[in-house]
Amino acid sequence: MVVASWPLHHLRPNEPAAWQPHPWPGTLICVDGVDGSGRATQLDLLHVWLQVEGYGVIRSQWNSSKLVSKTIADARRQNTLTPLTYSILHATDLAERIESEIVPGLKSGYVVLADRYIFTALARDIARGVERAWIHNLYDFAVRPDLAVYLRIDPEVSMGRIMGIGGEASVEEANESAAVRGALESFRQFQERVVGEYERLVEPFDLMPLDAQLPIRVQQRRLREAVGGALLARERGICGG
Amino acid sequence: MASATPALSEPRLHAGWDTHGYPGRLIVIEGGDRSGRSTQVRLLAKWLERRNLDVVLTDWSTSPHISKAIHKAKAENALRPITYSLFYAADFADRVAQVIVPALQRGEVVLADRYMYTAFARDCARGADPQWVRRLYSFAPRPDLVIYLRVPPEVTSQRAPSSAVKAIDRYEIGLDLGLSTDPEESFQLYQQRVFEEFERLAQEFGMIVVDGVSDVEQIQRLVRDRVAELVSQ
Repeated sequence: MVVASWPLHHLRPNEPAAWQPHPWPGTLICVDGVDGSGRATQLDLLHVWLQVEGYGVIRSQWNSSKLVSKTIADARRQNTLTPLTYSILHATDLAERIESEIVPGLKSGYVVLADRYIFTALARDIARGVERAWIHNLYDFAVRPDLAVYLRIDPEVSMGRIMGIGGEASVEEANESAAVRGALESFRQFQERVVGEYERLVEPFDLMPLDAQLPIRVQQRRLREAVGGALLARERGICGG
Repeated sequence: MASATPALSEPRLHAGWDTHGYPGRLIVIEGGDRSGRSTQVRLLAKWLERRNLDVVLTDWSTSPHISKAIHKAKAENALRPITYSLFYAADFADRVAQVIVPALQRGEVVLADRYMYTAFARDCARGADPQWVRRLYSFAPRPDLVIYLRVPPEVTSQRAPSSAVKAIDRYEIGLDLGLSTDPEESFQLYQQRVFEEFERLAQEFGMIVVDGVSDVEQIQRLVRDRVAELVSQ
């Protein structure tokens, strides 16, 4: 009896081509982007379309694993974890979903839609000060997606959407007290760093940028074209990029 | 754009791995299951306290939030190898940040009942790439002293009667590896693998190897001799 060796996927930031495509019949599509970029909206529309087209679809959401997500939520409430511990816990959450949900789904030929994947972890954790080389190694266990979409949005616009207000003028209105201004300012700086880190991932990891400020239907049309291409490539047995 | 991303640094965990630089001392007792580790840790802690040293004990898998989740997952037999590995790394990272580094900063003696070497041995026994797991743990402060209680797998088996094997969780028996469906056989095969990993680690990391088969008092004397050199400096 031979125990399988892992991690197998050889994620290497300097050699993206060395990241092995997965060998299974299913298709892994991930959508990353900051909160407020419209990920859930796009994924809901895509999900329905894929079902109408006759595909079996599995959704896998960031920080939703049975074993880990509650621990992360508890710790967040108590505000006790360091960025490094958070980083490993989020990786644990993804590992559980990969091992129990994503890989079994891919083996059974499903289209797996991931609402955020390692790119969100890399962008956020590096923005929080976690060492780049260390976290690239951490996520070496991740299965390479067949298509990775990055919803690109101006940090200011995404912040407006999160706060349920529309655009910069309203953000100004929210700047009433100094405390709010301070919190808002540090959040803004963080969002900008996160967006900067996402941008650094686009080329090495072959992310498909999608302008998240376009009308929803236009974004969805482009997303479906890209997904259709990935499905076709998979069906023809052409593996990934 | 790719050139903006620095190359993966080589793991820092080797003979030239940086010393921690804090005023405290970090002492690690390693060894497999049933090696008498916890007994030795307890005796050593008492001895250090009698010498008026401030001692902080930290045991494997004891961070408040994370260890509970690990135990729950193990009880449900729900842990697969990568999740298992990362869960323990998260627990360890929490203890490094909350317990180990603060105590070292205060100049205290940290006595660790198992350290990342246990993760290296267990994860590699489950197929983990040795470099990957060493890089994962590269945030850990380097211990000032690592004592490895060597107990051959045959002795470990003798120390664990079959009734006891049935009572311990399937991960400690290594049932999740699929080496054998028979708990006792699985336990033996798993202990053999872990033992071989520890033997390699002892060399790689320059651990002080102590014969864990000899009697408790004799082992403790050897351990204290080594620790005395360190804490009197």
